[in-house]
Formats: sequence, C-alpha cells, structure tokens
Amino acid sequence: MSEPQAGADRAPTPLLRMTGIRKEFGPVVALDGVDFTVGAREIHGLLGGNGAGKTTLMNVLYGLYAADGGTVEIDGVPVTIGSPRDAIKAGVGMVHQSFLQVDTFTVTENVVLGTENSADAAAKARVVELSQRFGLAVDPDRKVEDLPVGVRQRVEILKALYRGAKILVLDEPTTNLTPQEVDALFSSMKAIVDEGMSVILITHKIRETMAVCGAMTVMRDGRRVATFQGGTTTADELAASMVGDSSSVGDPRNSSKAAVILGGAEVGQTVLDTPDVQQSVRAVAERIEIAGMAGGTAAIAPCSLAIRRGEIVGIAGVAGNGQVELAEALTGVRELVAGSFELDGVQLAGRPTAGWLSAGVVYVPEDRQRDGILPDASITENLMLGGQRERARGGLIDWARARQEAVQAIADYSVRTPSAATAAGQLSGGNIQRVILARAFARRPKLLVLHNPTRGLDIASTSFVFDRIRAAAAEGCAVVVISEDLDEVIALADRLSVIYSGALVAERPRGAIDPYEVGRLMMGVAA
Amino acid sequence: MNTIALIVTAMVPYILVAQGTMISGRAGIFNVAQEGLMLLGASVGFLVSMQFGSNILGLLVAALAGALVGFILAWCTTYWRLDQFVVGLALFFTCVGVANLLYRVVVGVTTSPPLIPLLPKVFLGQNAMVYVAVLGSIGLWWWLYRTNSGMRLRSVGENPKAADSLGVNVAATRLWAGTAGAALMALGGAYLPMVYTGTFNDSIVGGRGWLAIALAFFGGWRPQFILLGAAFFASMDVLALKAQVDGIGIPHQFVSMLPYVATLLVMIFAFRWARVPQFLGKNYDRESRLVG
Repeated sequence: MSEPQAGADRAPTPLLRMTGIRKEFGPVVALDGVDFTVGAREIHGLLGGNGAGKTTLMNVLYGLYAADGGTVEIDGVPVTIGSPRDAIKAGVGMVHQSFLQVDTFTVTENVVLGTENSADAAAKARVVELSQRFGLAVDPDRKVEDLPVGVRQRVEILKALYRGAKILVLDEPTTNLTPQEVDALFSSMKAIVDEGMSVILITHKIRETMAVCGAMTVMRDGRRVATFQGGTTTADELAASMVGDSSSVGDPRNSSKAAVILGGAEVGQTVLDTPDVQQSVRAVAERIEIAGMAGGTAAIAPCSLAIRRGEIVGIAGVAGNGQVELAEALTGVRELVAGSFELDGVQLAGRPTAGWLSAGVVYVPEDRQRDGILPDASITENLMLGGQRERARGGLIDWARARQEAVQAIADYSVRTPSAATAAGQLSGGNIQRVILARAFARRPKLLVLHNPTRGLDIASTSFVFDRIRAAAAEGCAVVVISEDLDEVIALADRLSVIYSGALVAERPRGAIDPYEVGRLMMGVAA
Repeated sequence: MNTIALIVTAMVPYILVAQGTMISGRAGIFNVAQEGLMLLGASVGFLVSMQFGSNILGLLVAALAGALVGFILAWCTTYWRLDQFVVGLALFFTCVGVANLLYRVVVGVTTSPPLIPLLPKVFLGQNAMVYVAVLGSIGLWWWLYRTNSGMRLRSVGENPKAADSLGVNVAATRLWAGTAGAALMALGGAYLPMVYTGTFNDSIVGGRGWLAIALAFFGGWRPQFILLGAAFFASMDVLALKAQVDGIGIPHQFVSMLPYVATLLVMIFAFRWARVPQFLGKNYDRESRLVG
C-alpha cells in the first residue's frame, strides 16, 4: 500500500487514476472524458449498460484500444499504455468476457504465453502454487478446449496473476457461472485483494456488486455518472443511476423489476404476474435424438419436451452441454436423427428449415454476430432475412416496403443507428440483438426459441428483451429460453429444466427453484 | 543409386517447402505461391551458382529472393489486410514470370543450356541439404513445442487476439514467419537444378509446390509428421519415375496422383488429428468487433 501523502492531502495515492479518458469510434464518442480511480486493496465495481463505455474504458486501460485523450497513472506514476504488453508491464491484468485463450494449448501454455518463460516444469509448479494460493483449482496439463467455462475463467485469472498483476480487471465474470462457482470466484477475489492487489469488477448485477465491492462507479453514455463507497448506497439508488431515469425506477413495480433483471431479487419471489396461460399444448418434441457437432455421436440423449401456449420454459446449464444442438434441433436448423416434433398438431420433423419458419418457429441464436446477422448487410436487409418471400412482388423484393418496415422497426425497438442502411455489423451487441428481436417478432412466432438472449446487454436492453418475451408469451406464443445465465432463466421461466451433458436432468416449476440445487444439477452433481 | 537413396534425395524439396508452408501457416499466413517461389528459387539459385561458381551462394541468394516475396505477402496481409489467396496467387504468377525472365536475360535462348556442378555427396552417398532438411525438421519440432518462441508462433496462428492480449507481437510474428517460410520454399526450389538437372528449365518444379501444400495438411501442420509425409510423397515421386522408365505396368500419372488422394483421405478420416491452425488464412484486426 502507498503511504499517505504529507500535508493537507490526506487521501493516499490511489493505485489507479484514469483522468479525462476519451475514445471515439468514427463519429461515435464511446468515452467522453472519463475519470476513474481505484484505491489499493479494493474491489471496485464498474457498472453500466452496453454502450455505457465500461468495457471500452477497460480496453483502453489494457491497451487494446488507443485512447484519443486522457492520462493514466498507476501508483501515482503516469504510464503510457499503447498495447497489452505495456499494460501487463504496468501491472494490469484483464479477464475478458469471451476468454482470450488458445484452445489447443494446455493450461500451463496458456498461462506462460507472452512471458519469457517456456511451459516447463518450473512454470507448471508456479501455476499450481498460484492456483492453490488463490483457490483457483485447475489441472495444469489439460488442454483448455476440454475444460468447462468456470475452469477456463480460472485460467484467465491465473494468467494475470502469473504476470504479477496489481490491478485485475474482470469483465462480467459471473454471467455463465453456477452459484457455487460465483461464491468460489468471490472468495478468490477476496484472497487476491488480501495479498495487496485490487480488482475491478465490470458487472450489471447489483446483488453481486453490493456483496463484494468496496466501491462502485456507474457509467452511462460514455461518462462517469457517480462513484459510491461501499455501504453508502442502496440497490435502488444504483439501479436509478445506471438507468438514468430515476422516476421509472422509483416506481416500486419498476424498481423490483430492475432488481430482478439485475440479479437483486430474492429467489422464489414472483415479481410479475403470470400471464393467462391457455392450457392447450402448443409444441411437442417427442423423444427427439440430435446429432452432435461432429456428426455421428449424439449430442443430446433422447429427450421430450412439451410446451403450452403462453408458457416460458427455461433451460439452464453450463455452456457446452448440448444447448446449441438442442436449440438448433427445436428450430429446424439441425435435422432430427429420430423422434417427432409437432407444432399445433403439425408434424415438422423431416421438413426443411423453411417449412419450420413458415410454421411459425423463430430462433434467436446465441452467437449474434455469427449466426444472427449478416454483418456486412444493411439493417434493412437483415430485418428482411427469412421474410424475403413475403416481401416479394412479382419475383422482386419490394424494397420500398422493406425500408419502410425497417424504419418502423428501428423506432419500435429503439435501435441506435445512424440509418437503416448502416451495416448491421457496425452496431453494438445490444443493438444487434434489438434488430434480431425485431425480425423475430415481426414473424408473429408460435414457437420462439432464444439462446442467451440478453448476454452482454445493459439493463435497459435486458428489461426491453424480457418485456418483449413476456408479451409474446402473453399472446400465446410458446417460448423456450436457453441460457447459461441462471438469473435470467429464473427471472423468465414458468418452468425450468436443467441440461447437463446432453440430457434434461431435472425440471422445477416457478417458485420451487433453489439456485444452489440448480447449480449442483448444472454441474452434474445429483441433488 | 538404389531406391531408398533416390527417395531420400527426393524428400528434400518436399520437406523444405512443406516446413516453410507450416511455419507461415502457424502464424496464420496461408502461402499458396509455393510453386512460383520454387521456380524463382531454382532460377535464382542456378544463375547465382553459374555466375559465381558457388552452390552455397546460390542457395543463400535464392533463399533471400524467397524471403523478399514472403515479406511482401506477410506485409500485404498483416498491415493492409489484403486477401491472402489473391495476394498469394498474384505472387505465384509474378514469381513464375520473374524466374523465367531472369533466366532469359542472363542466359538467353540457347539450345545448349549451361550446366552447374551438382551438390557433392558428403555422407552415405547423400548431399548436405538432405541432412540440413532432416535434422532441421527435428530441430523445428523441438523448437515449436519446447521453446517459448515456438509457443508464441503457434499462438498467433491459433488465436491472435489471445496472443495479442498477452503481449505477443502478432504483426512481427507474422512478418518473420511469412518471410522465413517463403525463404525455405525458394530454397527447396534451388535444390532442384543443383541435384537433378544441373540447369534450369521452366518445368523443373513440376507440381512439387502444390504437393507441398497438400503435404502440410497431410502432416497436420506438425514438423515431425511433415517429415514422415515427405518420405511418402518422395517415394510416390520415385515410384512414378520408375513407372515411367521401367514400365511397371501402371501408368505413371496414376502414381503421381496418389499423394493427392492420400491427402484427401487423411483430411476426410483423420480431420481432428490433421487439424489446421485455427486462424490459417485469416487476417487480424485488433480493433475489429468481429474478430474471433
């Protein structure tokens, strides 16, 4: 820890001081003169929505983006960070939301990559030593591609610790973890802080923030809105400053909704009215068998699923347990090996994907950029995809109508874009998801399958997505929400299934969900 | 010469060119100009040997010429992010043209082409390049999997964003790997006039460059398997030659086709084992939202 400075200045030198940081992407100002200070031995929460600039700010700190203005001081010494190499040298370590790992490397190789050391016995011993000291259990010889998400995250943290990071940045680290893994992560974070380092936690989950952070900074629209010291604020106050509209959050109904979205609500507390559920069954998947990614081997054990009109079925699980295969099989993207699939009594199994589409099945895939949009095509074109047949006139696309619909959709779904002609790949993740949802709902789905629909989205976008999903259900759509974010599934689902190793292992109705029990099921431990 | 000795001699260009392809590919650069680079190496190597009376100097200058071409490919794809296939094919044609042009300018059109001395046999009836290629491959294997710099190279071809975030200099790695890889390719070409013909002609490479690309896949982009694969490819070469000369009852064209068929079979049945660098043929843009 640094010594308090002499004289009137009684505050100790902060570990990190970023001043007036500015970053522009073309015409968009992503960071507008942000000041950000982190003390020594502090877990500092960095909150805010997508587009608020928190990840951009941290990418500047980590040298991935070159700032257009501003200064960075570490331990009171000004540093120039032009690349991750500079950042590492200055003592900054960052764990990105999507792990930056070489899949074919072992844990040890991934940890030592970029240092002067080879992945030899000494390096391995150091990895083992760090993992024991900070409670980050890993096998140093395993290839990371074979490891589950929670373990891969520990590898990321070990990478930073191995390099002697003084400041550890964690970008949304809890999104895909089970509650048990979150607890373990937090105790590791405390162990890290106890050894004299500081942790910056980028998150949108207020419950977590309040539980572990000694200080919290809220960002919005590329600016720092407020900084709170631990214990001086409430969940509502935090939510209000994140959303930026105190009136709507002040409304108890809205603030409890925000609290659910933010992971702040207690479990079992049903916040929203269940829509009138018509009891008729809408979609039935009977003993379906699904082939895995590599062909041949079954990714999914034969399983059955029946979804009623207006029902939201949540499927929780750790990533890589067959979610993608299940989602694609339920939407006709992937052919069923065996079994039947009926929607409103119509057999869809064996039909081409277009048949599923016209029957009213709509899919919102997990990987927005790769599977959800054509990044180089305009928003108009992306909105029309899948519905191009209906917009044809005499064999030609009715562009006037398509453009008109696009402008309307951009307004209805509050897509932040310069124009409908902008390439969809230029948008931020949240805005891409709005485009995909606008396209999905324009098809008036009978069965809607969503995979990680709010991953990486801010509260406003998340709340918006939740409202749309609930509205679709209220209109009688059958909804399947597959998510690796347990809070999301619990907030949405009328009924929750757990997927583990390609099998639906348990089912719980709303109100009877114990997150720790679900967490055990997600990890394959019999409850 | 017995068959084994012929095969060992014939392995060398495959080894050099495929290892060159592997080194570039391990940094994400998929060089497809092998055939042209080999012809350039053959032409430059021959002409320098002829002018200065030194095969070693010929080999060195050929490698330098290849390095220059590889540097251009690496630069265009790393800093300007041009399409690797387009640049690679353009360089292939350029190399072919330059190789033939240099020969015509220096030697002219003649019915009695000049000859250079062949590489001397130094040990067990084989020339020194045989030992350079085989021992070099083993050294390459050790370097790639046992050393820090080998690990850095592999990381750049697998996940440059991860490598970048850990302070590995992705651009520099791509530049040197693309340069060194192409130098090896030209070196493999320069071997041909110095071991087989003693002179240069425009069909001297005879498809070995294209085969070397197949060999890189066949060997799963690993130096040790490329070495073994080169033995297989070379024996097909020798077998084709024997089929042509001795007439063993099967058309030599059929034998010449076998390495391609074998590569296809490997790709089909062992695609996990023969996995290619994940970032092969792609260009890295640090600030792109779509990388990964």
